[in-house]
Amino acid sequence: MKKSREYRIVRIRIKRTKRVPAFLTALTKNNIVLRHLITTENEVSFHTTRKNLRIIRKLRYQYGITFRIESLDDDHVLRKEWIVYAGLLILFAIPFFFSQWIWQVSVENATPEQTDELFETLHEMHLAGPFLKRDKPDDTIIRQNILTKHRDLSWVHIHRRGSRIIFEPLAAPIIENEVINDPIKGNLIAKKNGVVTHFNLSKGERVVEENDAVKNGQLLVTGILKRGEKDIIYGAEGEVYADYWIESEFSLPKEITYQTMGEKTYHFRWANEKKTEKEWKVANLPKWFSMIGEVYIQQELIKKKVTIDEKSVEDFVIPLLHQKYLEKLPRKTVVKQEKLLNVTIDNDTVKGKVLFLVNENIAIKQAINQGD
Amino acid sequence: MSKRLFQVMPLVEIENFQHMRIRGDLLLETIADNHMIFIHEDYRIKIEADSFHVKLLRDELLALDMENLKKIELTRIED
Repeated sequence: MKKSREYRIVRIRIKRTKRVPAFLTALTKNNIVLRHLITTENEVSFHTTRKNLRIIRKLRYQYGITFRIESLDDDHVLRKEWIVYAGLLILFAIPFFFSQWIWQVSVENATPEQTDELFETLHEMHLAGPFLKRDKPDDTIIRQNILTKHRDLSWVHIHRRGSRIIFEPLAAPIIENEVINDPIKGNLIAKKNGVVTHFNLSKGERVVEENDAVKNGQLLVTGILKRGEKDIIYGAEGEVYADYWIESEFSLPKEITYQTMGEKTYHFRWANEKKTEKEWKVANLPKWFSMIGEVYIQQELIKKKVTIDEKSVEDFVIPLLHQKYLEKLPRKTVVKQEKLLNVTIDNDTVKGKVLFLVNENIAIKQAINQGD
Repeated sequence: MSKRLFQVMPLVEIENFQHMRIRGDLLLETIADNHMIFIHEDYRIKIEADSFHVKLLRDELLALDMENLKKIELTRIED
């Protein structure tokens, strides 16, 4: 800094005497550069750099000159000095350089186990720590990689806010695995009445054919192979699908009110202020900020009111019942058709009957009595 | 002799009778509002104008702006 100060420009104002030209010549002979030399009635003034002042003062005594020094660029914010230029360059370069990186990676709305596992995967993908924004693969690729490694997730939201990246995993619905390796050897019998549509067998011999109507408890696939007079028990295994109808009754209030999610809004609260009931979530902010206050997110809830008529029964009551039955029934079950049998609308309630044509695996295993 | 690179000979340049550059050994003899006298090599140069603005003065170089130049007088200094 001291060195740069030496290069600041000063104006020197000399009272005009006969010795001034000789003094100026002496300055030039001492390798001092004079700029903007102006003469007026009483004085001669010129600009030079501060580093020359020592020689100028020395010569001044020799020539008996009196002068005043004025600093010219002390008021300037941006002086013509290398340090100023370097400072400016750093001022712009540092934020630019740091903005090229993702500094913070976080996982939100996940269990601690999920967070740990996700971080492990992100670490393998070199996406856990600070990394260059341009090195970040496309969101689709990241999501694909995460989903292939984490089968328990159905989706991952990836939000990028400035130098921060947030992963928000969504867990997949839990599906109970069916027991495939049942050691008991047996026949497959029907657990419901229905019309057989197709077979999916790995072992066994069909007793009924497709499009046959079967009754509850009827033998569908046998696990006994007859060879001559000898019976070989090897067990039947697989699925037998059949169509059957489910009758469903419903009764609903005529007017339904429900709430849906609206806009998210951000609000600021001082540290000593009380919490509001409408608060949904507190935004993550640096710790020092919590001394001052916090920012919370308010989730708007929109109340909606629906009056049910015959059309709205078809529009959304049936799909809701459809969904309800699908959840109850085993996996691979398909609801093929819905039929609205009747609807009665009273003053305040709506009643009705719906038939669902369901296609489901109706085969269950029945152990073969080997004592025979 | 001039110390400037490629400029070893004394030189006096006048541009549009408003700007003047003198290169070479230089001594300031008089400096006033309306006239200036230099000793340049073996010559005395006297310039008269309404006003002067010396843009740069250093060893062996003078760059001068003149307003309304009236007279330039060049006299050889005899021993």
